[in-house]
Amino acid sequence: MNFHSNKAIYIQIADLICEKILLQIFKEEERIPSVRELAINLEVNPNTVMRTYEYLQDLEIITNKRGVGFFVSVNGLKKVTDYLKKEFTEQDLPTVFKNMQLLQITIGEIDALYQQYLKWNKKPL
Amino acid sequence: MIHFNNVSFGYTKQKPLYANIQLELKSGSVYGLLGKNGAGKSTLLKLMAGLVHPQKGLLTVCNANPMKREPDFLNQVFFIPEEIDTPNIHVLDFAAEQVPFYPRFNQTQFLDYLKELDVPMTKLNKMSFGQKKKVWIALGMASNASLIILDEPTNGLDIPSKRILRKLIASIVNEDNCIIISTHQVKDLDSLIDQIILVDNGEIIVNTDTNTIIEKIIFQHSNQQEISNSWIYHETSIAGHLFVKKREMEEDVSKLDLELFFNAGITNKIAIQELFNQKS
Amino acid sequence: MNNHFSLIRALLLLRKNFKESGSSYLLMFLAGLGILFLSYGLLIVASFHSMFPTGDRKMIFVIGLLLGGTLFSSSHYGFFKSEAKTIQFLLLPATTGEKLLVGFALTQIMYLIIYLGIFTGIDWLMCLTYNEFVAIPNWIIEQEKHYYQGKPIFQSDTILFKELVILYFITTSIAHLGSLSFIRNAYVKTAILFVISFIGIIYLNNKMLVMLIPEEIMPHGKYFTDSFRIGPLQQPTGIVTLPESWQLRISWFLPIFLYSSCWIMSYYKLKEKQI
Repeated sequence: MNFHSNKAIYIQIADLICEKILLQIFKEEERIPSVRELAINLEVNPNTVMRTYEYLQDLEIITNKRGVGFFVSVNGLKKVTDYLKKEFTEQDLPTVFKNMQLLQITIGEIDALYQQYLKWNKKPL
Repeated sequence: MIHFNNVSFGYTKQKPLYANIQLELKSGSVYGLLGKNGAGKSTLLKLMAGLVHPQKGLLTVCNANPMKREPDFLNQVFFIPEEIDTPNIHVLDFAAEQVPFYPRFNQTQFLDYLKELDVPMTKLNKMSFGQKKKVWIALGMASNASLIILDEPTNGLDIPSKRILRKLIASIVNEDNCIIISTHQVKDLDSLIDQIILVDNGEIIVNTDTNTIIEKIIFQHSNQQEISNSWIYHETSIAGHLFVKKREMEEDVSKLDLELFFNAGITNKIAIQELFNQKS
Repeated sequence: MNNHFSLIRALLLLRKNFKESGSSYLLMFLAGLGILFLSYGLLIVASFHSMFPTGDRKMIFVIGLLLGGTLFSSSHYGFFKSEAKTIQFLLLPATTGEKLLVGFALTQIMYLIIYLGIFTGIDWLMCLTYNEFVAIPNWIIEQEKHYYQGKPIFQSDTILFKELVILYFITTSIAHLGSLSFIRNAYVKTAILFVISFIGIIYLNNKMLVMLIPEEIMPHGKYFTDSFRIGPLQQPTGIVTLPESWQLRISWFLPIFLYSSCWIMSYYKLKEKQI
């Protein structure tokens, strides 16, 4: 895996897992890959993955069942949505706003584009 | 796992390379040993393996004195040098002669690693440099040694092999072993390293873990013209400035840029040392 | 496995050595065999109309034993030229003693046995060939004909076998130590150092005797000074000889001392070897 963004690697891995939960590849109350499996797969240090899992545990997105492994929490999907929403509003939106200001794009223009996007990309269910 | 207590070393008495170094390495980590050419990286590795002996001070590796090179110490250590030289025999014969000396060697793992690294089952003299190196890497990883020392492991490896090497290293890390990698090609292995040792001019500038680094400093990019005084180090190009600065409590952590950290450590040694060395 | 000497490990090392260097040993063996055959062939051709010369054959024997033996011994640590191989050798989990034993077995036992074996074989074979193909000249009288029969040299008692073997052990041990001490051109360097120290010792020995004894003297001795003449050559005033018991003791002490110090030094050289 390539870690392109400027976020710390453990956060990028957390984002990756959140995305998988959001896409329901990792379903609620199901086991996610072990630290070792994920480390080998992503070619990163297991300690980094461990840090990711601790971070996600703090956010109550995943839980650790001793001796069994890590599982997506009961209401993991909601937690992930909240977390990613927060991340989006705090980190991604400011950049968008900055560019909107710079390029003098109005919110109306954005809304039109967004409606068009929604038309073409229906949420897969 | 490894303690350097006031260790001094030099190839001649008059010209010491390292003077009174203090260094401690713990198990369960992948150490990245970084330094410029001729900074003494290989020497530090050789000291740990008992290939060169300290002039002064106490060095303990795996609870043993490496100078003695006793079998019980040596079978816990596997050293993969930068240059490789092998006898002209079949790869499996070569391995078969090494195996009896390493009690924890795992033959299945070895064959798996060879396969993953795409090493042909032929005589070693028919192999290229990179292939021979991969044989050594497979041997080292399958030896299940507590201390695995890799001196420039990615030199001579092709692109797919570097990826496999990263997977192999990630798969063998555990609480009881310690992997030390010295490298110039920082980008080849930076996602694997979780402890950094930076050496320059016979001095250990920093020995710290990557978490501490990203908690204490930030690696950022700025496209503004002006240079801030708070920057520890910066590199300027037409795209702006890449800079390193101290992280404030409320700021988000950034991704560790090992190259930038390395350059910062070499050029602004004092600032980096102030941040990371509690003692001095 | 532990940190004490283990014969099993030593045997494993020996097997490893044979497997890894077996082909070069075979090559050396064939080269040696070829040289012996060639020199014997030349000898036969040269002695078509005369006796099969035992003196020349002894010379070949001595050269092969000592020159070949020392060359072989001084190449034992030739792989020190390669840093990677040196690292591998030094870090192989075995004790110094076990590693040294491989060199000992190869240079002190294997070479000697194989050399004696092939030399005896070739000598015997060549005597047979000589007797078969070279006709004894007609003018030789019957009683002297047996001089013209080629006989294996080990059957003649003129060869100083014991002395030669002792000399072999000492020179090859020095060559082995040289191989450990010098990474490049070990043979030449050891030989030069050996000659210099040899001359140096003789010089110092004589100098010391001269200093001890006020009269004009001339030391004499085969391997060490066992007697000296007092007075000038034309008018010697006396000859002083070492007491019999002393001579006896020195003559076994000296080789044993040289031999064991070579191997003790080799042990520590190997133990303290750094790269």
